[in-house]
Amino acid sequence: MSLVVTQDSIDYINQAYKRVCADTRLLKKRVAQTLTASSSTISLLDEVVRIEAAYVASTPIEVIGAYDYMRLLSQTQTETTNRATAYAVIGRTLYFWPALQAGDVVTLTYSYRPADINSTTTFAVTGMAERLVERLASAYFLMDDGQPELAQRELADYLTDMQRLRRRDGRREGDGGQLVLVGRRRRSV
Amino acid sequence: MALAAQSILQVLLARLRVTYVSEAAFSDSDVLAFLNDAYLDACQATRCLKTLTTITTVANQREYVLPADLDEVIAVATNGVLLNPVPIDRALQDVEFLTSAEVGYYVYGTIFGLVPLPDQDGQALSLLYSAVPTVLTDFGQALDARFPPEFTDVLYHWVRWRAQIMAGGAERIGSATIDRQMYELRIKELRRVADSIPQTSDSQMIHAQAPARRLVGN
Repeated sequence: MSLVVTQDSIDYINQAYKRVCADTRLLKKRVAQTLTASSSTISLLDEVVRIEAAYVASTPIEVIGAYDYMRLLSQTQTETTNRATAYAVIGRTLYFWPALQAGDVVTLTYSYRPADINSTTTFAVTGMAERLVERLASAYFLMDDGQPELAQRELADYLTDMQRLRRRDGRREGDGGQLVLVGRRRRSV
Repeated sequence: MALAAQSILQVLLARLRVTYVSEAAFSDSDVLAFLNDAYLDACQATRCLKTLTTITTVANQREYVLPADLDEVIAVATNGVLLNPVPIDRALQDVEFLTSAEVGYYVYGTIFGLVPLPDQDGQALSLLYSAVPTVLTDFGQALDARFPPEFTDVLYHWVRWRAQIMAGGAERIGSATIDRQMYELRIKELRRVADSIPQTSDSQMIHAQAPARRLVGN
């Protein structure tokens, strides 16, 4: 018996696959780039979900919010260093302060979205993440099939297991699971 | 026969056509109109299309034209400080300030104004705003790069919600409510993704800046 693969089923799987990878941030890569001209910005690739770490040469640079970056950018005092010490992400652009110089090596570690799979390629994730993709794709199918209550149940279970997987991945990377303040909301990681 | 990859909107259309959004009841242009409504609503509710631009002052010119794609001004900074939004019924009040540096701004329509009146040329103001998305004209069109592709189900749930409400029928109420709830849930998640400071490590304590204070008129 052969397995019938349709574009519809692949589309469900790709949507679920992208969401699982973005929600769990399991897929990570590190890219180094040498600047050929001074610049205060770098455009993010479409695949980037979140910047996990940033370095200029071997010096880590701190992430700041958009408001702090705007305060720094608009100040009139001159910088005492020519080495970027902070960055902000606004939209799909990385803004550095102070500006980077030609010859600076910027190393970014980021979580990324995978490329679409087709009938011949395999997932870049395995184990629990792969099972999450299957369950999420099933939830999408149930939603389309006119069974929204079942789909909602499946999605609720997906959220619980997805958060569990993300915490486990964070612990593996040395994260202590501390509180993070975002705006006025406290969130356990 | 090789399978043909589809654009994200074509995938959404195919999924919508399975149930509730039949071609007999809603044409492709109807669905595209729904998608545009959903796209605009999602971008406005989450302010996910954030853009940073610069406005350069002209001496004795108070007002400037905002970018054409601006939906909402989020923050304005100059001289190392964030400016306070000023109600337009106070903006032109003749008040003496201790310095000539800008302290506030006001917005009406497509006009951006400064308080007090700028007295020098070439002063750069950083303006952070959320943009409106480009109108979708066909199903092969790509969404804005700042709109995360994993959140396209926001558009899907909105269209299903609207289509079921318009189609009517008591049996649709439960299903329409679920789609609306799913839409709201994903909007909250997208808002969190768009607003939170990207972290270099989940183990760091990071304090987000408080939102700009608003002057409340008497």
